[in-house]
Order: sequence, then structure tokens, then C-alpha cells
Amino acid sequence: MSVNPLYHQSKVRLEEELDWIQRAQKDPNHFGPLYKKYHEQIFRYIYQRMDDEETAFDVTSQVFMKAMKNLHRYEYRGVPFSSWLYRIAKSELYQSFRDRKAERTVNLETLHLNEMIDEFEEDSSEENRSKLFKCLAKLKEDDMQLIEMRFFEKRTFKEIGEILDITENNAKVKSFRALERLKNIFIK
Amino acid sequence: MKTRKINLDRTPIESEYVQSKQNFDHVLSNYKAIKPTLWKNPWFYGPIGLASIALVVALSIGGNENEPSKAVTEIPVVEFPEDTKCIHPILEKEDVAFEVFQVDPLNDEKLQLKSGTTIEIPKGSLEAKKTEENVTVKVREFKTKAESFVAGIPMDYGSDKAFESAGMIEIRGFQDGKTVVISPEKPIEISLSLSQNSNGFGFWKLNEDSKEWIKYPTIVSDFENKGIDNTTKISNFKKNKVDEEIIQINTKIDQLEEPQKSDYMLANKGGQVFDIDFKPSDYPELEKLKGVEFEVDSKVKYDKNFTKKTWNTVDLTKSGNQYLVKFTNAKEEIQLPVRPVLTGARKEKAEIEFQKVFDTYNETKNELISEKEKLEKSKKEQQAKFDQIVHDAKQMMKADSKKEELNAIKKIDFRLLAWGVYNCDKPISYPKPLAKELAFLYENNADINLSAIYVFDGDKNVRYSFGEATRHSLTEFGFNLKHKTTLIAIDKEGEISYVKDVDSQNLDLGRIKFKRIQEKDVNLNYIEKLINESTLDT
Repeated sequence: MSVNPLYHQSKVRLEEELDWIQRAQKDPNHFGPLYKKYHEQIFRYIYQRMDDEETAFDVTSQVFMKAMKNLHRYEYRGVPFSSWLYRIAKSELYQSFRDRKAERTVNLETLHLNEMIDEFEEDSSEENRSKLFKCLAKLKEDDMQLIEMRFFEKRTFKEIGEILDITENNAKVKSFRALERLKNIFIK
Repeated sequence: MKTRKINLDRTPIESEYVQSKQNFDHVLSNYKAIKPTLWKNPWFYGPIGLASIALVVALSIGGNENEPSKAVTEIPVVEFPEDTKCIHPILEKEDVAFEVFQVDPLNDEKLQLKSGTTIEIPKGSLEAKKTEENVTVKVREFKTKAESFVAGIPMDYGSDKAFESAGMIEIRGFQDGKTVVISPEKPIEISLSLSQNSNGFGFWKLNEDSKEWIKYPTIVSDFENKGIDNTTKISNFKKNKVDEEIIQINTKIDQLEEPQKSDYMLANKGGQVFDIDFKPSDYPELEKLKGVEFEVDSKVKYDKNFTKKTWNTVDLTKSGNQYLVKFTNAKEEIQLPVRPVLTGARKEKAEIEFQKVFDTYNETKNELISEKEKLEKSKKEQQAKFDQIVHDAKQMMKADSKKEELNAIKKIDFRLLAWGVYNCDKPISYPKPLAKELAFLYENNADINLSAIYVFDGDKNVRYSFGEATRHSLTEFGFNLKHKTTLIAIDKEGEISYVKDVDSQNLDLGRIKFKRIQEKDVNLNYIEKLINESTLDT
């Protein structure tokens, strides 16, 4: 009896990805598989933080252009290529806000509000949802980013650490503190 | 960035739509356009650049002029990996079977599944290359934990939740081994039968590239949302318009200037007026107004009994445009700001004029106030009507949902625009890691070299996964001690073992003993029995 090998292949995937990167470093025409693999993830990361869909697609294209331009600087550290792309996406996103004098948007679902209220061990009533909604608007940007990644985008601490360029443990501690701060605002 | 906008429940974007926007050629051509030309690169003027020039010059001098240069540009073919899907059966020889249908793309077709699920494929929905040939539609449903486990459907949501499923379907369409596109104009309509009522459950589509579940609209929720949204918008629109008109009227009222008696040189009601002698030559403007008197400025605080006192001198002076009267005697001196007021016939004439203007002012003001009152009344009526509509709609929805509950209609309807896996689920938090460190052993006390452990919660239709190729490491392993739980472990050699209804005594001893499953026994039915469930059909 053996387990289907395709189900346990994350290391294989990383190695395959490294091969794509090395080929793309030599010739940008080879960047295609990386673009195909990560386009949606990066688009969703950007669109989660802005209002305008078309602009989000434009910024996504900009991210991949920047990635191709700087690919020769990329160093493989055993983490998915997406971490590097997310860091470029973050920088391009904030540049886009500055260029367009647009405001940062947070998109969330009632389900997320309920989950957070559960975390605070409160009833997920309409009143509490409305209260939490207001509290989120008051949260500092750094804390908002962590809450957004952890609770609205459901990222692992490992992934948050990779995107923010901090350790997994640090991401855990920072997310916990951000949640505590939000809880304090909520309870007041 | 100073401001932040928060949107709640924005309509999700379909994965297929995002993928349709992919355009690598465009990105590549833009990249090439922004890439600096060779001589604009800083390194060009460095040692490498100079060496390159020298080499080119040397080759051009030394090379054979008769031999044509061979500029070979090799454009590599980008090959995508064949398998980018994320559904891989856990067991090599066991999977959940598909029901296979042959569908005529030129006719309306209705497929009825064994579970009660119906699939309506309208004519023209399947954009098959060969319209005269049938399209093969393969469908399978995962009603139990065992089925989704055996099929290898990822059931994690986000980083700390797993899905409790009420029903899941996988549907694909092919012709000649190639996927057939579904026309966005004529989507397939699916009425998915569920194992329990969908109240409190969401609906999701599996993104097979990212292994993430993405929210997907259902026909009912779509309708409900649009209905309420439109009513709210209409109401808000009207409300805003009325509010704007009220604001405009208030501004007009504020801007109306009440005529002042002082502008007509008339004394105010209750104002203290007195007559004094002054040199007409000093104030020629007052000399014209025969019999002019003076009224003390009402804003000034002063002793009103000053007229009863005896004054040695009373002098009129002027500071700028302000007239002042100074009263002096041996003991004191007071100075009061005053204004001239008319008397006699002039006063009467001025009063008639003032009254006319005052009446017009009053009339205009009253008209505006009455208009404002009408708008406020209409606003109240509109609000009441809107509240009633919302109330009625809510009552209707409540009644409908009650009716549905009574009729026990366990189904959910949605429109299919792309093949894939669709799921009616509720995210459940992962259990907390067990505080105690545990040894995982086989029955003969040999250590298990674990690859993964799957926890099947007997009280909920949910599976938690720990170990390799899952989102939770083995150190995070845990389960709800109050629930009836079955564990299935896979070791690094691929051997499968289990613990049925985990005994808390084992936990107290700090170990869990797994029983090996014989290879011949490993099938869907066996797993179903292990985790105390049976399919809906049985």
C-alpha cells in the first residue's frame, strides 16, 4: 500500500519553480509559467486592498514587469517565489495610492466579522458587527495589515512572515498583539 | 495615506474572470519596452562593455567577410506542467466514482443524479467544437467525510479553519478528451441536494491552482441581495434628494435678512430715547432732520436712571460714524453711544416703509418654513413606507425560510460558468493542539514514522489534517476530546493505520496506538465504516 505521490509533493513543486526561475533569469520569455501560477494570487492581494478592479489589474501587470526587471537580483531561499512577488506587490500598491491620491481600501465579509467576534468571545450580533466595523477603521495601518492577512485572507504565520520579511514567530507575535489592540478598542 | 475605506461583502470576482485577464505577452512586450537599450546600460561603459566592443571589432577585422553571419534567435517553447490540479486521491487504488452522461449540445438537457441533484444544461450552453457529437459530462458528489477524504479534496479554509460540508459536487465536461467551454450567456443551472439545511452555510468554488476556496454566488442569495440593494438605493436616492432640498431651504431662511428699525432711523421698542440740544452747524446731516432725537445703543450697559439725575453739561460728539453723548456734573461723568431717531411726520413715513419691508420679509420666511414642513412630512412618509417595505420583505423572507425548513428542502441552486468543484460549507475552527506530548505507536509498540494524521470529528461533517502536504504540522495535532473521533494515519512508507473512537485512557497514558489496515481492506466502504458514517444512498 502506498500513498499517491502527487499528494505529497511540495518540495518537488519548489524545485520545479526554482527551475522556472533559473530559466527566466536567463531569458525573460521563460517567465510565463511563473506569471500563470501567481497572477491570480497577486491580483487578489492587490484587489483586496483597492476599490477599482481595472486599476488592480494594471498594478498586477506592473508587479510582474518589475519582477521580470529585477529577477537577476532574486535569490532562492527555499521559500515560494510568491513571497518575493508579494513584497513587490506591496510596494507597487502603495506607489499606486500615492500616484492616484487614492485611499487604501479594506474589503471584508460579514463572515470575517463574525469570526473575529468569536475570537473576542462575544455574540456575533448586528450591534457587535457594526461596532467591530467601526473599530477596524480606527486601527493603525501596520496592525490592519496583519489582521487583514491573518483573518481576512487566512494566511499562515509562515506566509505572513515571508511577505513582511520577518520570522514566522515574529509574525505570530505581531499578529497576536494587533489582535489584542483591536480587542481593546472593541471592548472599550 | 491618511484615510481608509472599508467595504463589506463586496461581490467576489470569479477565478475564471481573473484568469481571462491574464496576458503574459502584454507584460512581456511592456517589459521589453522599458528595458534600457544596450548602450544606455551603465555597464556598457565599464570594462565589460569596452571588452565587448574590442571583441566585436577584433572579430569583424579577423572574420571571413564572405561568410554570412548566423544570428540565431531561439524562442523557447514555454511548457506548463500538465498537472496543476490539486485534487489527488489519497489512496492509489480507490477513488470516488463519477456518474457519466452523454449530452447533446444542441438540445436542452436535464441530468438527474442518484442523490436528487439536478443539472439543467440549456441548448447552446456547451460550446463544443463538434456540435453534432455528444459532450461527456462527468459528475460526482461528496456527501461524506470519507468521500472527500478518499478523493483528496482539500478541505482546509484559510490557515486555521476546516470546512464542515453540507454538500459538494465536482463536474467536468469533455469532447475528444478536451475540456468544453461553457457559454457565459447560457450557464448550466445546478440544484445541489444537501445532507443538511444550508442555513448558516456558505457556498464556495475550489481554485485548483491556489488550493483556496473562493466564495461563489448562489441563485437565491444573488436574488435576495439584489432585491434589498436596489430598494435601499432607491430609498437613499429619494432621501438624499429631500434632505438636499431641506438644506437648501434652511440656507435660504438663514440668508433672509430681517429688516432693522435702525436702518430706517426708527427707535426700537423699549429703547430709551431723549432729546438734547446740539449745535446744528457742527452736525449738518442732523440739522436736515428736524426734531431729531437720540436713542441709547441697546447693547450698552448703563444706568437707566441717568435721565432723573441733574447734569451740568450734555455734549454731543462723534467718533467716526458713532454719535456719543457725554453727561457731566460735579460728581460724575458718563458717556453713552447713541443713534439719531426720527420724530413727527418723518417718523410716521419711515414707519410705513419699514412695515412694508417687514411684512414682505415675514411673508417670504413663512412661505419657506411651510415648504420645509411639507418636505419634512414627505420625508417621514417615505421613510415609513420604506420601513414597511423592508419589514414586509423581511417577514416574507422569514416565512419563506420557515416554509423551506418545514418542507425540509435541503438543496442549493447555483449557475455554473466553469467546470470544477463547488461546495456548500461552514468553516469550523481547528481544535487546539493537545497539551500533552503524545507517542504515536503501532499496536506492537513500534513507533510510527508519520507522514500525516487525519482527524474525523464524529459530531460534525469535518476533517482536520496534520503533517506533510497539509497546512498544519504534526506538532499542532489536536481534536475535540468531547467528540467521538476517529484518526487515520499515513506513515512515510504509505502504510495506513487507524484508531476508531479514540479512547481518553490512551491519551492519559501519553500514547495513541494505531491499528494497521490490510491492503485488501482499503476502500471507500471500509473508511466510511471506520468513521461511523454511511452514504446517503444506503
